[in-house]
Amino acid sequence: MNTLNRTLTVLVSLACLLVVWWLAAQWLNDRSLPSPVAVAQALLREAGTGELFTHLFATLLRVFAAFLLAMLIGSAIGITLGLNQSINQFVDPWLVLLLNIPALVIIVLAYIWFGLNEAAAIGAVALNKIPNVIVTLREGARSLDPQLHELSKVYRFGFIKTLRHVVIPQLQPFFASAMRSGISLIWKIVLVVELLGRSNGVGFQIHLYFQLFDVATILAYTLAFVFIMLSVEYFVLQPLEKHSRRWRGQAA
Amino acid sequence: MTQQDMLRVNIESKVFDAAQGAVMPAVRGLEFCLKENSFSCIIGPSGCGKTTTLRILLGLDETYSGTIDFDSSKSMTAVFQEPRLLPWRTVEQNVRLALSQEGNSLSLDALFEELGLADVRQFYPGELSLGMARRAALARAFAVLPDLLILDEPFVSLDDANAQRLRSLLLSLWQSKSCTALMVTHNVLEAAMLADKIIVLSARPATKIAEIDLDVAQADRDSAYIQEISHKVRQAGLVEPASE
Repeated sequence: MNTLNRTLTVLVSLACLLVVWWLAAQWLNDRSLPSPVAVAQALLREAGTGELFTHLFATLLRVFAAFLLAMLIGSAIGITLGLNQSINQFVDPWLVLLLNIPALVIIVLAYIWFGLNEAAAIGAVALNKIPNVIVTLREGARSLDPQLHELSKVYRFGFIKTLRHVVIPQLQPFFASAMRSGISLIWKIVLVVELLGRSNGVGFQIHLYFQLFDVATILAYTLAFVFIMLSVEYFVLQPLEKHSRRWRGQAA
Repeated sequence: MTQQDMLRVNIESKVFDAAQGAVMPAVRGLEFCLKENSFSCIIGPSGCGKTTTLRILLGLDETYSGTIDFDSSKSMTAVFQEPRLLPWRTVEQNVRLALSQEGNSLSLDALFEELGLADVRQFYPGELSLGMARRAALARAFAVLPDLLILDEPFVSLDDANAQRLRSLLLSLWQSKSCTALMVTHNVLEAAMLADKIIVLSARPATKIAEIDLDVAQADRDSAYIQEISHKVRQAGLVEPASE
């Protein structure tokens, strides 16, 4: 009953937003704010030609590659820093610096230094996300329980067993937090990377229709992509997190 | 029949660094041997360095001077003051994790049955009472059939009835699995009930002030004998904590 109620609230809320949008579009009656109907038509047109899917797919691939890269590198560095105080003291200033460089600067520099290519694009996006992952996982590594570490030593678990069954489960909440904030940050930055230096993807299309002042198609691409990212969050990340937290919740 | 020594301990000195470069001695000149298949208890006042000694035996602390003589091909497990179960693994998964692939593990079914864990083997530690969690920790320690089992006040903060039940479980497991046990406790009666030998430690820095051999089999001990032994331990100079 409770979940049903909540779903209903969400649906009503979204419907209200749609109505407000439609009324505003009617009242303004201007190209700069197309009605929901016009956006739906643009969406259908782009889907019909297949353009929509080509560009969505290109963007998704970049999001996925940058995400994977950022999580792998960021986790490895973050855990190392969390476990080693002297390395951490040395690297920390770089981290603070990197955290405060605007995404746009990193992207522009990557294109200038490495050329307008896919590697530069994905690398730039990953580089924007890596400091966040490092900081989160560093916190996680610092909170590792020394008692459990002793347990794995006394019972001679060995490196692999310790990592898999003792360390990673303890870091799980930190991985989850890094992943969730990561995916939303990354897909926003990917669009900028595409806008500045790629010839396909949602960001490229938005740039194109911006020049044509076709707001309906811009909104169509945006909504399609938001929908996909929400699906990833809802159908991939959340079930994953729920699965790895199944042992909580039931405490006596 | 000659019995071999399972463990020979000679800790000359163990100190902790304190503030302003000062050092705090924790153990000084502690020497004892454990015979194979014996059950020994180390007893001493709170904070005297008992846990520090166990950590050295378990290889968790290597900053001491002295020698620990233990055949590294033999296995050693521990039951800690807290159950230390991995909360994300069920009772059975926790026990299985301790088993090495090639190790000679005994039947888990029988072990769970014996420890009264048969109904909770699929439970997560967070769903267990403290008494049950301690049983699971015992199951994990015995599952690997250790040559040497080290127990650090494994029944602390349990109510009397529960602690008593677990003591007799421990005793029957120790007898049937034939391992050498070393248990730290500050409960004199517990030591008198379980041990073949009681090693009495002084206040910090810990050193051995007495070693008492118990000549009556555990099963045949009556309360008069247990009282007699605890009297002996106290006479040896055990400083007991003000309140328990």
